[in-house]
Amino acid sequence: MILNYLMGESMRKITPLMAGLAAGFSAAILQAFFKITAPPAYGICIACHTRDLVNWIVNKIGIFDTKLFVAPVFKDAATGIVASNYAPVLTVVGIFVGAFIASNAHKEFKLKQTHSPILGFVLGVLVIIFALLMGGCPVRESLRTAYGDIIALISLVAMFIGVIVASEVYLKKNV
Amino acid sequence: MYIHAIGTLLFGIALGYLFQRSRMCFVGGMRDFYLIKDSYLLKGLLGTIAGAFIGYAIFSAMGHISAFPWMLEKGLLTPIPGDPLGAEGTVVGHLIVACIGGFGVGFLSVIQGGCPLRNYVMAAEGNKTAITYVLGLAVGAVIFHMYVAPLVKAILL
Repeated sequence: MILNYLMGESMRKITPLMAGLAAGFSAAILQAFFKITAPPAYGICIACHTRDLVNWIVNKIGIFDTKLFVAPVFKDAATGIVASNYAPVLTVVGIFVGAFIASNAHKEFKLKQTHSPILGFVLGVLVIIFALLMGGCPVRESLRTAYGDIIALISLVAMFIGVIVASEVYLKKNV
Repeated sequence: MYIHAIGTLLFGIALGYLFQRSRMCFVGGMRDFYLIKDSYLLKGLLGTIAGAFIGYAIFSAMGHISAFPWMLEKGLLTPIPGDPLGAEGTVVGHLIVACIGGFGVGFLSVIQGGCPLRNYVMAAEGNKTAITYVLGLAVGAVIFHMYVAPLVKAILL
């Protein structure tokens, strides 16, 4: 009976393990067949692809005279054409749209807030600065680890230490 | 020329759907594992590594992916390009940015209540804090490349 319940539950529910396996494999497909590679292990990255999209738009509008960095995704060796000059990577737009469709389809969309949006904005600015400093968000650090990069594994360990310290000094005081 | 934009958009939509249904979060997995010894979310992180490893191994064997496994092809402590130091950086420099960056992301993401990926999903669920967080990511990316990256290079190169 318990087994039946668990089987039924797992049939209906998408677990993080399934989503993770799908995400990792998709990242490999994106690199192999959709040429998302200037650096390898770049198939999915929230911080880097946000950076690529925003910097691409800022460069196109030309508010600042500087040429902001955009990862040279898919440089064709024969012609010298860099595809990311023509269009940016749209991973983060896709994830937002997909999550929006899912939350609407299951009636989970609701305007709410967890803490002050101003604090959220500041945290967003700081998190992407630290993420780009180590060369990727948690997703890409996982992909880099899978690709065989020991420095990325060390950054995941550092992230775990950061999580432990924040849990001790922040969460346990506020619970 | 546009295949990378179309591919990332379509895969992003499919994965965004899965991420919303599974409530996947990388930092949340580490937090739950440490605080309440629950590995449910952490399996998402391990699954990503496993799925990517399987994919890279298959496509590398088929000849679609080069330089895999990285540490055997390029040296044990050579990082995959991505951090601001690039190819000129020393091993110590790469380790410093990896540790500072990792610690900062872990610490700040716990306060925000999720990794950048989870916050995109929460923003799509109508969370106003996550929406301003995503705007912060966009602004922070420009700040990083205008001010932080040159500073880091000046210190560590």
